[in-house]
Amino acid sequence: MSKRLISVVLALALLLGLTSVGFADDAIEIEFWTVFTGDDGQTLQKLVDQFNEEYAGKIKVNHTPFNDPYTNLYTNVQAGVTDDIPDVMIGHVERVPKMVDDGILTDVDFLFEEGALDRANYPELVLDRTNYDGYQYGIPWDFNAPVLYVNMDLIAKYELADLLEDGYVTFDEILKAGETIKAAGDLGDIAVISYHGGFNEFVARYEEFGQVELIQDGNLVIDPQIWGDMLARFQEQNNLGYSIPREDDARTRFIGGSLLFFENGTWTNATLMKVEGLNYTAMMMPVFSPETALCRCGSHTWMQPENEDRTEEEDLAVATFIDWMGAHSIIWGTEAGQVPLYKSVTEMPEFAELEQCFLGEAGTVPHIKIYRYNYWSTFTGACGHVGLDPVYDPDYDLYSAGVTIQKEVDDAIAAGI
Amino acid sequence: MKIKRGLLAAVLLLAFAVSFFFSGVDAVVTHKGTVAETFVPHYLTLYSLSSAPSLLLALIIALFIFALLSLFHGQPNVSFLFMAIMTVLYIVFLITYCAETRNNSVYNILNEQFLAEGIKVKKRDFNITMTPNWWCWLTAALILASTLTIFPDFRTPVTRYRLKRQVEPYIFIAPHVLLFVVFSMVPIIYGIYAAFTTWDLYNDPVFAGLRNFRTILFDSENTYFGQLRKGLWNTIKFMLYVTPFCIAVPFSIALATRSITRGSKVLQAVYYLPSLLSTTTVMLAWKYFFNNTYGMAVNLFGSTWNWFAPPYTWVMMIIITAWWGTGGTMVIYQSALASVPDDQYEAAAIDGAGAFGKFRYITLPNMSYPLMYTCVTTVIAQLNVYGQPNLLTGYNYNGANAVLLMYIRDTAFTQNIAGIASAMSMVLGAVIMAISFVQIRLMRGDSERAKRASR
Repeated sequence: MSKRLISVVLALALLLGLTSVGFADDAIEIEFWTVFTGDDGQTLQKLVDQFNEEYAGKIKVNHTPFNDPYTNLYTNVQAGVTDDIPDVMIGHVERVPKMVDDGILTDVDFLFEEGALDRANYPELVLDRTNYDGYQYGIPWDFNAPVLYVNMDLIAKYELADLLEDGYVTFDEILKAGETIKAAGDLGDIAVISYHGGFNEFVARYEEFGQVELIQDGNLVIDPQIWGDMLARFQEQNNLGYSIPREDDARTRFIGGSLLFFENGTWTNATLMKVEGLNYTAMMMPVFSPETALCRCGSHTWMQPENEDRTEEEDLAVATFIDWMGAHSIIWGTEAGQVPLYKSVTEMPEFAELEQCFLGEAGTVPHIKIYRYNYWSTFTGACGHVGLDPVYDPDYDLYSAGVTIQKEVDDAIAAGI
Repeated sequence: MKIKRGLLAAVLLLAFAVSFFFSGVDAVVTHKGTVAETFVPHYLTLYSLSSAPSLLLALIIALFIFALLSLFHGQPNVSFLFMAIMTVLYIVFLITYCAETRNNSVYNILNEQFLAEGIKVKKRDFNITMTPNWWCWLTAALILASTLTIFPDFRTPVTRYRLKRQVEPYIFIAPHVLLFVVFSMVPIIYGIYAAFTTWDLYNDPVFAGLRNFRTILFDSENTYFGQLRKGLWNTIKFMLYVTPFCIAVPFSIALATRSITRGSKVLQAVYYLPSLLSTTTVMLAWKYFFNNTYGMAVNLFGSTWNWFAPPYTWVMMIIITAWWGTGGTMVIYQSALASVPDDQYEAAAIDGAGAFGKFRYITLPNMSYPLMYTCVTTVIAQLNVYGQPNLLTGYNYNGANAVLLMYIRDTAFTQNIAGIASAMSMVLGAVIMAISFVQIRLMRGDSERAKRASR
């Protein structure tokens, strides 16, 4: 009897299992990769969860953040593992040219032509950066850039408010702040500035200082004299003892209140916003003059990897997702500290209150620049190899730095990237 | 008769190799009346790594070598086994490869033709028809013929017994061999091959002869020449600085804990614990320890050194690596020490030997093999250093601590210059092999001398 009972129960369980298979969620599944592995990734996941809730039964988005999605993507495309190629991803705008060249990305014109997305919702400047041969390969998600975080308590303490009045901090003003802190006998305990390093530090400074273009006709052209003279201005700050010691943790010092100017990316804002009692603002990176000010900007961009197995129906679901995310992206500014770009969001009053909102004007402000160069990651890698040595090492031959970077990029291209 | 069959099989096998060279697939795609076509030889598929079936070709080549070697060693039954698998794999390859209507490598070749005509075709609209050429069928026929030539005679018990004895061991080791071939041998061969190509890891590699080696070894103006020299020299310096400590520290601890009667197990566990931690965990923890402003080294121990500037970076890395790597080596020494017979020490004590005498004439000779083994493995491990300098110092101070693997990783995966990176890897591999070889020869001589002395 008991055996019969067990049989019946098992049969029912099996039936129930089969029934549940029969009623399986038939929503369109979208594989979504991003580069957001930090606090900003959690904010993005929140948005994705909200979307999944709203579109339950219709569209389901699976979000996977990666430190380096590009290597995974390239490997999977190369191996033809179409199951592991995302339907859509958010990557760096600078990566797009090479990915287009390699045939990794598919154009997204279809999404605009079908009316699933509207070009008017995105700044033309950023759209233009992902347009190749008349085909659109990217849809802007946000602006990101190195910015200057300013400790407002220290500004008040040393009465330096006038430095910030015009919205720019110049190299001369950094020296002035240093003199003030030194005169108060606090230099050392209080550091004036920390550096972000690498290309983030020097690219825009070089163009501004020398009034030259770094990328000319699609080629990297560094004038070693200008690059060296520009570096000399940084070295001057260090020689005067204004910069933090090289190995110090700048973020910890800024949060701890012993660093006046902290250079870092917009992505760090998510962490700073959560620090109780930290009174700070975000500004453009230091400039040589407000008249020549230039800010290197990046953009996290939606892109669609080439995947022959993706259907048009899935493409349209992707468009729905991209548009919904854009329309709800204010949280990307208020919680992740980034700069959303979707038009209706940038018109919200909350957007104007964001510390980093000055970058949101990028569509109209000429001094913000997004670079477009096929070998951008090679160039940034070469800058990384030189690092901050020229700033911190007083014996460094400043005029060799530009030559070294240029040579490394040229040699990489010659080696057949 | 058997010799003749074997000889015939060998000839057919060599004919297979020739035919394989000419075998390939005709690929055709039509888009709105425009036709693009190309011929893809097997060797192109083999080195393009264009899809999973291309791996089958690599396995077929490996099996071909094994089959030929078995034949020459008078083991036709084993050779038969390899050839039978080859036959099946080749047929599977032809079926699966030709079913790939959007093979990436073939797509790139055909798409070039469309682009040259000014036609843009999305990959999803590609439907490539791939047909094996007649050489493929000849190749399949030759390998099948070769297999059948040495088909074992199962009718006599003696043959069945021989077959069992010869083939059975291979069946037992097959899983390991398969894993070794797929995950070690094939990547090594591809790595060596890549060193002779220009390859961006995505598009098909282009054979470049010795150009990469000329660049990194002789072109003194080239960036990669400088990186190889700097990276290799830093790697060797790291190995020279760290290895003595990675041997002496665990050896001392093993000796010390051996003489401790109470709590030795706890101490062993404590010393072993760091080796269980990941590179990132260890490096981040120590990075904060040595932090010039907040670190314990400064605030608790009153250090005035800038630990992140050379030459102190080397000291920091020695401390961290010795701390981190002690556990594994210590366990080897402890087990070796435990196997030293107590009566040798007792006899030495009766003869009036002191602590040093016992150590010199009993402990050391008994430890010669574990010491030799750990020396070789430690040197190899230290020459493969990556995590410590990468996470602690990076390329700071003009790359004062940048080791070769950092440059190799950057070149291969940040810049996608796999050819140069593979050539650098081969140089590093050659250096490791040369040092290990010399080390083993020297230590073997030492241990033999020590043994003679202890007699």
